[in-house]
Amino acid sequence: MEEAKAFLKEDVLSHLEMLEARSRSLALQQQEGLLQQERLAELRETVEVLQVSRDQLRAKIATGRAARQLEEESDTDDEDEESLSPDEETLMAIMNARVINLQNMLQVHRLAGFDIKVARPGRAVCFTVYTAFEGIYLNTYCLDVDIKQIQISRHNIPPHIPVAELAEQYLRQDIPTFLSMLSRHLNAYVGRKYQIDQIKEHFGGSVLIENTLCGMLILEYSTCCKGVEHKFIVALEYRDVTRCMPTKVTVTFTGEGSIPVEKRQAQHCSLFQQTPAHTVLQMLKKKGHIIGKYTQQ
Amino acid sequence: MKSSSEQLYEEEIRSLKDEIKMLEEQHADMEHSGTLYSEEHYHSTLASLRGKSKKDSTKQQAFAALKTKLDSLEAELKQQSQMSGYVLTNYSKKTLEKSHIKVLQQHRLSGRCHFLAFQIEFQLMEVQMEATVSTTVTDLNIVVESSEFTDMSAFVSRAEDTKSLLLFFRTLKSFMDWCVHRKRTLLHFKVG
Repeated sequence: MEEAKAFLKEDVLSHLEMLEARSRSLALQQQEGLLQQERLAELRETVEVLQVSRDQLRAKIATGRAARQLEEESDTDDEDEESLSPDEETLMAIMNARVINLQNMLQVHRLAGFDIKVARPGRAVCFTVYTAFEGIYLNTYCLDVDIKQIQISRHNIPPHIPVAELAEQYLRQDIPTFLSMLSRHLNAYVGRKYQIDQIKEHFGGSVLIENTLCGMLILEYSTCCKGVEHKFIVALEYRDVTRCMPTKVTVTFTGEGSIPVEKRQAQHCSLFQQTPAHTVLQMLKKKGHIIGKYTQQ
Repeated sequence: MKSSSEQLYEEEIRSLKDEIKMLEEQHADMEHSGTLYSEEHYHSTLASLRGKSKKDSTKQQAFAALKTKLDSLEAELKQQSQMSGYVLTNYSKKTLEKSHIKVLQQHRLSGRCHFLAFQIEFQLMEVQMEATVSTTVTDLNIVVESSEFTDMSAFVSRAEDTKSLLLFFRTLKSFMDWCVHRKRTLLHFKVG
């Protein structure tokens, strides 16, 4: 009996152990199974994403090829129309290429200064005016115009630009002319401001006075002429608000006058009249005409 | 220990990546050689195709959507041309450099402002800054068919030197508007 009991106990124990082991292994298997499912799901997603990329690339290439091929074909033979075997795909490829081309041309129009978007058909139009100084594109300004009443409903143009006056003078006659005038004012203002910002950045100590419209700028720098140090004070007046070059330049200096100093004074005066102010300062610094500590560019 | 499905997926991923790499190279080659797109070519090709294409009903929707998009872009371009005073007749673009923060592209175009024809080639650099994208013209070449107007050539050289693309277009329009006005006035007096 004892033996039987012992035997049973062993058996039960081993059975229990076996069950435990089995349950552990099942749990492990379940975990592994879940992990694998996750892995498979991830892999499936990756495959889908890659397939989309591949399809897009194929479409782009087919579009380009079809467009070019048809261009070449229409180049070579005008009489033999039957040689073109058109199908829906080719037509769509051409149209797709055309969409891209139109978007590119619209980009050129923006780079040339303006953009028009119909906000509400027949009611409102949104104009965007782009500004640039030489090759650098700067601020963008928008106007909402009610085309029924021909008036500006909204804009983000700074107050010192006479939008209302320009609108009164030009808007009713001719929208392109109004935009042209506005663009002139805005580009000139932005151009003057850019020059001042550049001067402040590279020749911080020089700027004495400027105003909001950037219509007046006074600069000061030290120059050494034949061993004698002088302070040059340059007054730039921008009376014409549609231009970003000064209408009047005055250069005065401190200390004893002499022929070399007066020569340099004339030189600098002439430079400021012909070249944007920040460029002049850079040129003078390079030439050694400006002394003193200024941040290198 | 990989299951056979895992292996299959991984193989497919490898082959897709290879295919994509090859397609990207092809696409880069195409972009590099540039395609000069002519307005005339496009319209004549489309006209000759439209009459003949057999329409597949399953693609009707996609076709119609594309047609709508195309029509709206064409209308937008027409409006732009009216507002700006000039028309673009040929255009192509080529990517010279591209990184995740910078793109340098070369644009070539020809166009007409009233009766003056011009061709422009410029390079445009767009750099991703913190909040915005900075756009700069880094090279500019302008050819203006100006048999009559010698004032134009001095202005054009200055514009090229300073890379003033925007100024060029603005000035071109003003100048041409003035020329047209002058011609009309002279004609008026001639007849009278």
